[in-house]
Amino acid sequence: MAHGRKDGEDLAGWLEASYPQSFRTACLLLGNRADAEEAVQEAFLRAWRFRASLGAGSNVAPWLYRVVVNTCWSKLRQEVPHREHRADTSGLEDVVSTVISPEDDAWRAELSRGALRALCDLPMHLRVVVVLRYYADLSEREIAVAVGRRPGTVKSRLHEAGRRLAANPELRASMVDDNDAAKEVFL
Amino acid sequence: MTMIDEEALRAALQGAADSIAVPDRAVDQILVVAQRLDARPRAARRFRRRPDDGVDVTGAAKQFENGIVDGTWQQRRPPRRVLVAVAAIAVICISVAAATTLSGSKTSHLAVSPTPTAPTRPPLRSATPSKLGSATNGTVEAGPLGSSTAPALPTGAVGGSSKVEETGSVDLTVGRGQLELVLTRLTNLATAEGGFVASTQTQFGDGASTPLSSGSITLQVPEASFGPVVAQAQTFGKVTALTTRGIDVTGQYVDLQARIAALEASRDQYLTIMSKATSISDILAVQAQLDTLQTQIEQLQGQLQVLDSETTYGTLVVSVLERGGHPAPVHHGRSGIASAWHGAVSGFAAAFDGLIRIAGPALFVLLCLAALAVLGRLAWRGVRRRTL
Repeated sequence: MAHGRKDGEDLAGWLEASYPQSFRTACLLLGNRADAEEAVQEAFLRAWRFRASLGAGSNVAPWLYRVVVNTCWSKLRQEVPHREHRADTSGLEDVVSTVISPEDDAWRAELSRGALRALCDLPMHLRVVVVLRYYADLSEREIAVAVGRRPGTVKSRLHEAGRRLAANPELRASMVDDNDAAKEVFL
Repeated sequence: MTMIDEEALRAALQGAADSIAVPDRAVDQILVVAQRLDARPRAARRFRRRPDDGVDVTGAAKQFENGIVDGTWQQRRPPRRVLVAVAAIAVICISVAAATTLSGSKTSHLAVSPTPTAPTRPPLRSATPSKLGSATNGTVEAGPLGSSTAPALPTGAVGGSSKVEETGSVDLTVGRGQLELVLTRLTNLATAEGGFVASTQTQFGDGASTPLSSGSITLQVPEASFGPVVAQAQTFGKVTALTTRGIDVTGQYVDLQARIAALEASRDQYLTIMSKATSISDILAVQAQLDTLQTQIEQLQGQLQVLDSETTYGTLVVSVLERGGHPAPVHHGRSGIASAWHGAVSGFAAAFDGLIRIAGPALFVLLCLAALAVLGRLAWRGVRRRTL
């Protein structure tokens, strides 16, 4: 992954390489395939237009994720005013169910659906940190850059999100770990 | 504390995300548009999907690309900030125009108004009695006094000049101990103008039943000097009331003169008849008629002299009051409880007055705080919109 490049060709190559992950992140945030496609499209155009503001040596990934997250947030706030800020669970389930083949492992498929439903039950500010942490695999500091908050706030939100996910009955049976090791992950 | 298994959640999210199909060639279309965007960077706006569009590129993106090619593409919707700015500018312009219109209409109204609306101290007439109106009140009206456009009074057939009876009164407030000085100056003023003092009345205060000293002086001044005397008298103290009145008696004066002339003519004829009378009875009858005529003539001449006197001298009554503050308080001999009750009532009224007095500034402060709160909330919402 190229970091710190302002050159157009380098950025174009990096955007092309990061499109799938950005699109899936937007899908997880918005819960709607069409909205996610529009959001990523707009985010990439914004990133291209303001690529000069990315200084040399900067980490491109948090910067781009910040653009994507802000675009998704704007779309939820402005362009989807009649929806709640929670994602459309059925939409995501449809997206997933259409691509999971019958031959896939039933337990894994059920786990993914449960995780999506629990994710969509989270408010937007908690859903963002969960997706960026456990899907995009960003560190807390990178997430802080992406959402424009302090790392302590990100840590607190991850803890709150973990507490709420653990209270979800669908995820409780398969994912909950009562030992102290799991506690340290979120604290 | 019960927490979720991090690895299991990561695996679940990864599996769910991996199962989401990524649109083909979407990034290529974006990059094509982005690279063309460099030519017109400010034309980039959001693209909307149409239902009949394919997955590869949205309808708006097609429109955008086609517009770039033929140069006819325009923004589909102006941003909200632009609309708000335009609306604000329009409101400001309308407000400025309304204020300008209102001020302009007020100025033009004042420009066409020939007379001032606020009552001011009347300009006393100079020394031209013929210009004086029939009746004027100096405290309210300023009209005929000293006005060069006042209608001319009818000129009498006898004497050739109009007869106007003038009266006036001035209430003055002077400083403590200046009552006698002012009365003396008024007397000197009347004497200097060829008039005299008709009457005076002075009352000195003793601090109890009559706490203030006051006096009244009636001046008879020549008609030609009436205006200057009134003007001069106003400078001796603070004027609290001023009244002047002019009554035209020219008609009455002329009528008296005509009746006297007619009676005198009759008397002359009777005298001629009397000189030709030969009998005593005729002489006695003519003498009786002459006596009657003479009596009538003398009565009318008396009335004419009174009118002459009244129109020759104007009457000015000046009331002078010393400025002594509030009258001495009257003691009613209240008991302690009554005094305390009255004090309590007075204190309650004073506190209520103070409460009403501070209500205005307090309301203003509350409005300012409310405006600041609204602005702060708008600013906070604006900040929150930009971050999660």
